[in-house]
Amino acid sequence: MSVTIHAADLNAYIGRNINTICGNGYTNAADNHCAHFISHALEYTFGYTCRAAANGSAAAANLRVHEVFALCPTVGRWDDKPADLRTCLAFVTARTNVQIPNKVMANVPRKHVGIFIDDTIWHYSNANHQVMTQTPDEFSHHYSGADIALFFGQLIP
Amino acid sequence: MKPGSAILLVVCWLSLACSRSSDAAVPAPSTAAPVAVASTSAKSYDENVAPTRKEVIRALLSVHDVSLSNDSSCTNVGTNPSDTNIGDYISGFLAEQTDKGQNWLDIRTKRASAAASELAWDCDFVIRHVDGDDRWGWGVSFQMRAKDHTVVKTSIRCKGSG
Repeated sequence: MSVTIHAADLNAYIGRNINTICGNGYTNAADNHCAHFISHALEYTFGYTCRAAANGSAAAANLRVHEVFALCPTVGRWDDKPADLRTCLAFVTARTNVQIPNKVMANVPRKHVGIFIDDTIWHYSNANHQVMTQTPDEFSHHYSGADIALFFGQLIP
Repeated sequence: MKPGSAILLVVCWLSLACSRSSDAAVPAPSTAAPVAVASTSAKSYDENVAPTRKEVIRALLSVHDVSLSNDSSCTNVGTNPSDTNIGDYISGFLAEQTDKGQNWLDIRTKRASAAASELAWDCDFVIRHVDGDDRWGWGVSFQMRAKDHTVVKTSIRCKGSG
């Protein structure tokens, strides 16, 4: 099954706080909303969702990066991303948190996810409380540390 | 919370030898000679007074051995894939608190729904950290019985996003 999302769809989210995206009220600014945002944009309703967490009744969206990573059809290091894969998920975390062969990302706090289309990544900046865009190089510096690296994941059907 | 405090909390956790949870299995029969049992009677509490932060933490410590497989919200939430129980999970996130940014314990209580068969308190315990984009909150929610502050083990859920 093919999954499509376009830059124009994502541009409509730029500058928006999660409280204008989530209808379930899971909008605490002290929480991390990176997986939450991409799951609303891509309609990922599996696993632990905002609807369950907030006892809401609106559209559900997954909240956890490691649950998203585990369901991607293919994952890998960013440098190994196929050249023709122009739309995918981009993850940033420490290399030691990731086991690519079995698609496991440990639930460490420092991990982040965005949506990549043609050299632009749309993601929810938890520091700025809004959706923003960055280049992959900028995104790779989301956390400091020599072990921090980028990973890709094919969109989940 | 400073790292020293977090370490102290973890040490206290690991040193716990007793559990107050009334959902625990029937105690194993003792073959030892009878001994005096002192100070084991359950405490009683004013059912109209919400548990304090300390009481919520004490209740959480008592269920450290509850398996993460007991509820789907806790699947793979440990910071290490080999983590198996609530103690592993909470210890992992306490250990992630650093001396950069802000660390705090977000503890909330409210009266549980009247539909419950007995008076209880809904409790949230979330370990939080904020340092720019390094922003997270992971923890648990559970019910405490109002009469004795024991945890309803089947009510334990793992909270957190990111």
